[in-house]
Amino acid sequence: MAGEGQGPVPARSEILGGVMNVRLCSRRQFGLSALMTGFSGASIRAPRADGARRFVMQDCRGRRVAIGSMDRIVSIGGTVTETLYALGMAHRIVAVDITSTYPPSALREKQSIGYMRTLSAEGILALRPDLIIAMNDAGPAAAIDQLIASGVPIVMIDATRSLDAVGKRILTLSKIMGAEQAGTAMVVRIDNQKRTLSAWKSLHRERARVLFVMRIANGRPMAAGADTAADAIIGLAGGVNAGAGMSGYKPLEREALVELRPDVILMMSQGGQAMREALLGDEAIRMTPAGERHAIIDMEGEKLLGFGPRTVEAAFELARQIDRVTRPS
Amino acid sequence: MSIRSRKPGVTLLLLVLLLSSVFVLALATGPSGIGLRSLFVSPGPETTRSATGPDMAQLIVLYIRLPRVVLATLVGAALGAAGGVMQGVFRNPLADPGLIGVSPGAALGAAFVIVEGARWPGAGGIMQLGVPVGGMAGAFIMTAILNLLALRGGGFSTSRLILAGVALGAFAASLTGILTYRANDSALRDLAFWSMGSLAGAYWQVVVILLPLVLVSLILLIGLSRPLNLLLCGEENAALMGCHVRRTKWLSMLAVTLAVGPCVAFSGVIGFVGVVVPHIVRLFAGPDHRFLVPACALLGAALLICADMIARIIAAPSDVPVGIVTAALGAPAFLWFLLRTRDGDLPS
Amino acid sequence: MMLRLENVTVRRQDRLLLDGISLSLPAGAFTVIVGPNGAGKSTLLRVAAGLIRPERGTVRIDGQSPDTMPSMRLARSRAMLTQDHAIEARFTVQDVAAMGVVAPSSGRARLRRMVEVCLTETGLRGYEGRDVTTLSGGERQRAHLARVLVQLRWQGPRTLLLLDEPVSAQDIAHQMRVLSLAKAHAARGGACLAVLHDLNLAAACADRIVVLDRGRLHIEGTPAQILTQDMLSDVFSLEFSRPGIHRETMRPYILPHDLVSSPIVQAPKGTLPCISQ
Repeated sequence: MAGEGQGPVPARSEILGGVMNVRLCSRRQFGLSALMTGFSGASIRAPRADGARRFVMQDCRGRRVAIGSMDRIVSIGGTVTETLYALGMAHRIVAVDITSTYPPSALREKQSIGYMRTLSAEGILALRPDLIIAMNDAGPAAAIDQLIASGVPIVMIDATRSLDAVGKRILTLSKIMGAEQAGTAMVVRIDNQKRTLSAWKSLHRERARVLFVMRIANGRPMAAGADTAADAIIGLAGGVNAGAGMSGYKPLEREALVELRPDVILMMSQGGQAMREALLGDEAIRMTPAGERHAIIDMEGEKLLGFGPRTVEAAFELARQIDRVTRPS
Repeated sequence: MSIRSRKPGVTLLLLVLLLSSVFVLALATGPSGIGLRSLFVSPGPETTRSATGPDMAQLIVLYIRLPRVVLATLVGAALGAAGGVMQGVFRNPLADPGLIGVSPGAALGAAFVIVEGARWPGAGGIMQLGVPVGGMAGAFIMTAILNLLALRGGGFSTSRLILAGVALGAFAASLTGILTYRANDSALRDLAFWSMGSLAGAYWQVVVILLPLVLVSLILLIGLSRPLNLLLCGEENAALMGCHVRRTKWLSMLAVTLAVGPCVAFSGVIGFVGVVVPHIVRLFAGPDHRFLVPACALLGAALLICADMIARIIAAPSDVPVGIVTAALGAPAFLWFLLRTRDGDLPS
Repeated sequence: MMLRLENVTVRRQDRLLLDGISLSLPAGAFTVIVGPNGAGKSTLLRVAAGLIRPERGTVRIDGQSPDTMPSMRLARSRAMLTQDHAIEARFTVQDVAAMGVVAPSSGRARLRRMVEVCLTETGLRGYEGRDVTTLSGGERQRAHLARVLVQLRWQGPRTLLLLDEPVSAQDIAHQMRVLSLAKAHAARGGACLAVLHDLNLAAACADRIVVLDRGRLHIEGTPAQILTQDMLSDVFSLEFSRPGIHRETMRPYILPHDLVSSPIVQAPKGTLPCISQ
């Protein structure tokens, strides 16, 4: 990323355009390296109203949040972290939760605050954040309430898993960060990808039956039914969720699995080669069209299911891969 | 000679001292490194420079730590005292509130709210109190059914109670299983973390609800100590000494449910405290329930405060479920304790 | 009357345990129940104590039905030594002895003295601080007896003492000690009803003896009236016992004759032992 280690950069009113390399900083912003190594209490001064930009915004719960400086952000939720990184705001983040798997550097270079549903209010406050951005399904509720009560600005981000919500999330986050232009550019790019995808889908009308297997539990595949992120992305990619008859992630009975006749089996690349082999070794799966053709697709989990900025990209990639593995050779 | 003290009053006093010091220590310890001094010291030069000024210190200590430490005290006291009473009523060293369906019932009620509540639109706000309320309802319904079953035989025999409790517990567990199966992804995770037990849900409203319930049940539990002593001589001998055996058992179950049901509902399943604390106390204070029950409450509270303190700071800034800490530290500590004592010192 | 039973019938699962028993026990009386195994002796004590409510008939303790008495008042007007001597906790002997009494704080000193007296009387002096789980069976039985005595004496002398086989675990010296305690309780104006198996002991100490057989009251009377060859053969099927009168105490006694000159002992080698009728 450009500008690493540079001195104070122009304030918000003097932003320059550009998609990925825009850096928005207050006048008090110090070098990225200093942020990375972590401040001692003395090296960052409490922000004053005269220095930082101050504004009030409404979050997804209808709360009005006054936001001042944003040099020590705690980012809760993989999508939030991914978007902040994409907006070039990585240097402002002090800590992320463990669902922040993309980019992989996030969990390496930032402090971890644990799982997003078992947050510790005092643990987060101990990091002296000046802004907390959290997905709306973060918890426990008491910790969120305590964070709200602490007076540290905390913005809750709508956690709906849909394509519309993806764009809204990016716009909201870019507005918070004062990076509207970067955000708009991202949304425009996503819209372009969407158009490309629908054009591609109009040319490829065969709708393959896709079964998403989360993992193999006790020898039985846990598959995605309706009302899951996997169901949504399969739909976006132009496929049919073979497991749509059930709801949520459920273990599949072998005979039922054969009956679902998936053309493609989709999995997360975190499962690795071991899971691919387990799937191909399963008698029931071998009896399905997907098993006969070894049609197994894997994709990075956060990209596939996170409904972050890469969602349409993921759907397009998925659509092409489905087409490739199902096309009769 | 046994290691047991001849003066139970001294033991109680020592436990009170232990509890108060642990309480203050826990209040002064946390991932933010804020000590109690920052509450009273006027903002000096070093506090103004950090982002956590005196206001933040006050907030953290009074609104995050204090309710959590108080909650740990209440839950620990309730679990300890209820464990002591359960072991007395059932005259069984392994008796715990799970045996009379309190924990499975609370788990079922809480699971119902977690899983089904997730389907109601805009349930976020309700969930916070919904889960404990569901847990409490589950615990009370389960105990009520069990009482009816046990009373039907005309008597109130302990073995009947245990058998009915085991069967009902299994049934409740299967219903919880059905709910787990129906759960969506996030409800499933909530369920998993609830079952590990955590005091992270502590805020003042919880404490205000729990405080009267736990106090009333503690008074009931301590009030039951004489009849429980008599029961140790056998049910017939107890009855001959004027103990209303059926009423004692019935009241014990009510008091245990009143104490443990709300605690389990708020904090999830925290194992070990209820089973082991009474054994440790018996080694020091003897079997007399008039000392045993209050001592169990004091030691249970102190232990849970310590365990929660560890849970708060060991993986800071994240939070470890306290149930894991109680089991991981408590079980080996108890084994060490067992190894140090000879057979003759153990309660028979 | 300290205790009055009228036409008491107790049934458990179609089996008659007691069948129309009437019995009264005046103050000052020491009555002993004897009878073969399964005659209903312990059941009769339980009915008298108010532990079992009879199917038919009435029970009156000092004129009152135990059903209508508050449990604490009942506990002050009668006490019973059962055959269950187990204590599943490591109480001390004096803890156990004091257990039957709820003393107000002003009565603590009186209770301590009373415990001391009763432990001395039951031969447990010096055992005060001993853990009851380390006692022998006989010692534990006496610890329970001390508890029962404290429970009764707290109220006063006009009380009912029920003893179920109080000497079953005692050596001969302690048998005497325990029975003299029972007699002393009656002599002070209380009443005592005890189940004993040893007919000679019963005859030696009892004012009256009640013989139970298969749930019925077989005969009741003074020891001399009871200990007859007829009773022994009817109730215990003892054909060759010889009731006699002791020359010093003028109390009846029996020698189980079967044992000293039994045909079993005299049977020639190689033949099957049999009891001749």
